This record gives sequence, structure tokens and C-alpha cells, in this order.
Amino acid sequence: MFTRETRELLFTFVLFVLLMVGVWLAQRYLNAYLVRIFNTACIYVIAAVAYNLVNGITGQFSLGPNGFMAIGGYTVALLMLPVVQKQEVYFLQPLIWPFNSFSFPPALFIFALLLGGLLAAGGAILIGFPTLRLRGDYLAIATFGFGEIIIVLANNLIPLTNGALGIKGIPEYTNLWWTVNWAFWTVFLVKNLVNSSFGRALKAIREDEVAAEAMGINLFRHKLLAFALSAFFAGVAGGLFVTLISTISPTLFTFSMTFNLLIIIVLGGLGSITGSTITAVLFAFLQELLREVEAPHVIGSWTFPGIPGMRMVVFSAILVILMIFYRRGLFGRQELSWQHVSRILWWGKRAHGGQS
Amino acid sequence: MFLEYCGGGKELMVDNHERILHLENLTIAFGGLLAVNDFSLTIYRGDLVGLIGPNGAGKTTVFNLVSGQYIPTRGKVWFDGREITGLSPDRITALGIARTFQNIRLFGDLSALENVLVSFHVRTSYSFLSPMFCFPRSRKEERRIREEAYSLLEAVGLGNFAREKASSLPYGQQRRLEIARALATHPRLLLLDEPAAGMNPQETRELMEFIQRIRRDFELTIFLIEHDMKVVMGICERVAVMDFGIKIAEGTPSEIRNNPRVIEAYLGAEAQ
Repeated sequence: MFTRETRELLFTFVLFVLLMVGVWLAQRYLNAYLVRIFNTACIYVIAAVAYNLVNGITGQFSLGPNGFMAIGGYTVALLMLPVVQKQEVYFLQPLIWPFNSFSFPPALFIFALLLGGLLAAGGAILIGFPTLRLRGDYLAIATFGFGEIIIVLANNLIPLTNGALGIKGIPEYTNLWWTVNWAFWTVFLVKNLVNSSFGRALKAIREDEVAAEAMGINLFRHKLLAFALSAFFAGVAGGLFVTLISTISPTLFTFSMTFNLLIIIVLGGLGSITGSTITAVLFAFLQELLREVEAPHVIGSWTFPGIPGMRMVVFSAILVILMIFYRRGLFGRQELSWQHVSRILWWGKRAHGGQS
Repeated sequence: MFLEYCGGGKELMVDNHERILHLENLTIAFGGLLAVNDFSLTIYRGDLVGLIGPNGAGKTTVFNLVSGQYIPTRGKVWFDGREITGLSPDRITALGIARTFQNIRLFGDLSALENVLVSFHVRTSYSFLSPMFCFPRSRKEERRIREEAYSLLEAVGLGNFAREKASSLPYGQQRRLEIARALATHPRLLLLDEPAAGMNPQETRELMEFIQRIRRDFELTIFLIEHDMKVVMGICERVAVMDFGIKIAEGTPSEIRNNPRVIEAYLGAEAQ
């Protein structure tokens, strides 16, 4: 009746509607704690899927998403914080012009997010321009350095970022509607891109740069585009995160954020969007569940004090175990597509000889 | 259907005097080593030219100079009347030179079909935003290039392997797929780097027929490196011989076979 593409778009639309109904129900009936975890999960999904576009699909080892998230986060914070609030927050040194004289009304939140994303993408182009021409590990080193530079700048550009004190009282615009929508559209757009001719070119670069170039693919342009696009979504994720927890400081987007995302995409499978999405959600929930290991415990007459940071030890152990038994992550490079889903759902029908 | 975009089919291999590739005093030095020294060669449209020589003579380096992987220290490369020295490999491919590699370099994790589809990417006209937002234009284009890629795979006898992962194909098929992938860039000049390497006599015979067939069907000019003398003498119309980076002979296969310098290069001086 329909072509396969139209049918799949229709399925995607149905999924979207279901998700929106789910959000409505969650907003109404779930407790605030669970909603908060779902929000964090969606933000991880956005950042992880974007990160995977560079590390998994294009095969370029970047360590920069924390820097891009910080750019997005600070942009959104500066744009959305009301002017009155700004005067209170910046008591060490006043905020520089023009940010001290205006702020976006709530209706323009979406534009603040987009702007945060675009600025992050600009940062990616800046760092990608000299480093993406080189082969090898230069990108990892340069992006790692970039992330650190952003943190140092955030700490020291006091008239802009309020330094180590950070910015507090950012309006909490982010709710499940925002995060679920952004997560959905990020996955949808990245998936479309990866399945297109452009995405195949990116995968070809991952597989063999020399051959890809010999087949007419401009390595630099494709890598830069993937990198900038990834940074865009990372910036948006940063902006959403900041307006979720209503505060930003240099410690929020340190290298440990990149490390978390790296765990997510490696566990999910480098190159699998499905894997990144699922492990991002799992990660957000595990992080909460594992709070238990950091809490003090009393066993018999022994009292174990809580050790902050134990969660990361557990995550590292999980990572080591998974790397031994599932070397390519949970999904490898597999994707869950509508074709797979319909094969599972209508398998019985096909067994009866029905055509689909 | 491939004739449509491989040059139009108006001028067949009649005009044998139109230069397609002209190498002018090509020289490249790696440190103190002159890998290719003052190498000149002209290839005319429709030719099938072989490049032979002992191991380490610099044959693959010549290919790398033509396809843009290396930039010559001295000398020029002309293709179809324009100088292409120093252009990047992707631009040279877009101009109409495609190549295969001595040690197969397929995109191992992609399917055979996707390997061929990658080569169509240069010619897709839409931007990256178009597929992201499901614009109908990119879908139409995608459908078109998929059809073309399928028929190309069928034309090289890989129709049944379209969905197989490239790295899981048998060796001979991988070589074929590499040629198919090169053909998908719509070249006018095809560089084949040891296409018969590692093949048994039966496969080699099939390959010779295959090369002659694609040359006819796609109206190609072919420049190939080969160690298997049966292939070179069997299908090439002209042969150039290299030794220590220098061209030591050029001519028809029978001329080459009796050239004393060639015999010396291959068998050593004391054989005379």
C-alpha cells in the first residue's frame, strides 16, 4: 500500500505520539524523583547519540563533549537568567554588557537552546579546523585540551561566567516535554543522517580513510561536519541540563562528564545509535541505584562509612567485565530498525504464509 | 544503462590519438631514495596499458602519484587535458580516475551494496540536511543510486552478494567488489593495482575476461600493474617496464618480451 519509507515514517509518528502520551501520564502520575531521572536520562541520550556520531560512526576519537556541553550550558544560562537575578548573582564582578541588560523571555527558550548548540558547533569547527586534517590521535588530545580550556575559562572569566561560584537560580524551564522531544528528534535526525549517503561516507571514513578518499570522499569536510553536528547536539544537551538543575558552575562539565558519555557509547556499542540510546537510559537509572554503594552501611557491629565516588568504581568494573565478554558493546554496530520490529511482531503471521 | 553516464557512447574507441593520461618527468623522493625517477608515460583514450617491474620498482608509487595519494617532488600529471598534479585524491576521483588497491581495501564492515553506494556519494547533489529531515528529493536520489548500485553489482557478477558484509566475501569476490566500487565513481581511467594477485589460474582467466568486458561496457581506459605475465601479455596492448624507479622499456608485449634490458631486470645480468 505504502512504500517502505512512508510506512516507517508512519510508525515513527505513532511512536512519537505514544511517547507524548507517556510524557503526559508521567507528568501527572509519576513522582518528582522519577521524573528527574527520566529527564537526566533523556539528556544523556542526546549527548551520547551525538557523541557516538563522531566516535562510533565516523571513527574519530574525540574527548570533547564536556567542553561543548559547557558552551551550550553557559550560553543558555546567560540568555535565560532574568536581569534582576543577574545583578544578585554577579556580586563579585558585574556581568559585562550586553548580557547584563537583557534576557530572553520564557517563550524564546527554544532559541536559547539552538543558539547554545550553534555556539558549541562553532567551537567544534574552531578546534576541528586544525586537528581534523591530521590522522591519528591528535583529535583526542586536542579535544581533551579544548574541554580543559573551557573549564579554565569558565573559572577565570569572572565577569562572564561568575567564576567558580557559578550561576544560580536559572529558571527551571526544562521538563519532560522538552527533554523527551529533544531526545526523540536527536535520535530521529541522527538516524536519518547515518542511513543516508552522507552517513555511509562517514562509515567509509571509519572503515578505511585511504580508500574513502580514493572513492572521492572529502575527508576533512565530512569529519568537520560530523564533528560540528555532534557538538551542536551536545550544546543543546548542556543547555537543557543547566535549566533542569537551575545552576551551572565549572565543576558541572568536567572531564568526568565526557567519561560518563564514553562509558555509555562504548557499553552500547560504538556505532550503534540504538545501543547509545538504551545504555544512556540504563546509565541514568544505574547512577541513581548505585547511590546505595556510596551511603554508609552498618553490617553487624561494623560501620562502613560512605565513600563518595564509589559509583565510578562500580561503573569501571562493569566496563571491564563488559569489555571482556562483550567486546563490541551490547549492540555492536547493530541497529534496531522498524524492519526488525515488524519482523518480530508479525513473525507469526508470516509463518502462515501471509505477505507483508 | 551504464553507458549513459560513462561518456555518452558517441565516440567509441576510434580516436586512438587523444591523450587521456600524460605523465611528465614524474619524480618522487622519500628522503634520499628516489622511488620514482623521471618517469614519463602517455596513455591514449581506450588503451589498456600494463605496468610491470620487479618488486620495489616503484609501480604502486606511480599509481599513488597519479591518484593523488602522493605529491610528486618534480614533474607533472595531466589528465584529459588538464593538470592534476597536487590535487587531493577525492578531487582526482571526482575528475574521473578511479583505482583499486594492491592489498584489498574494502569497507569491511559495510555490505557489498553499501561499498558500491559509497562511491556514488560524490555525485549525490543534496546537502546533509535534506536526508535528516526526510526531504523527498534525497529519498528519490537514494532510490535511484540504489538501483544503479544493484545493477552495477549484477554487471560484475556480485548480484547475489549485495547484502553480504564485504569482509566475509571470498577473496576473488572481494577483488571484483573493489573494481565495482571503483567503477561506481564513473571513471574514465581505471587504475588496477595487481588485480590478479593471489588468484588461481582459473580465477585469473575469468579476471582477464572480466577486465576486457568492463573496458568495453564502460568505455574505460585501463592502466594496470600486474606480476602475472600471462595477464599482462594476454590483455595489454602496451606495456611499460620499471626498475629501480626508472622506466626501462615501453612497447607492445612481444617487443617487451624480447627486450634485453627487461630480461636483465627480471633475471639479473648474468642471465645474458
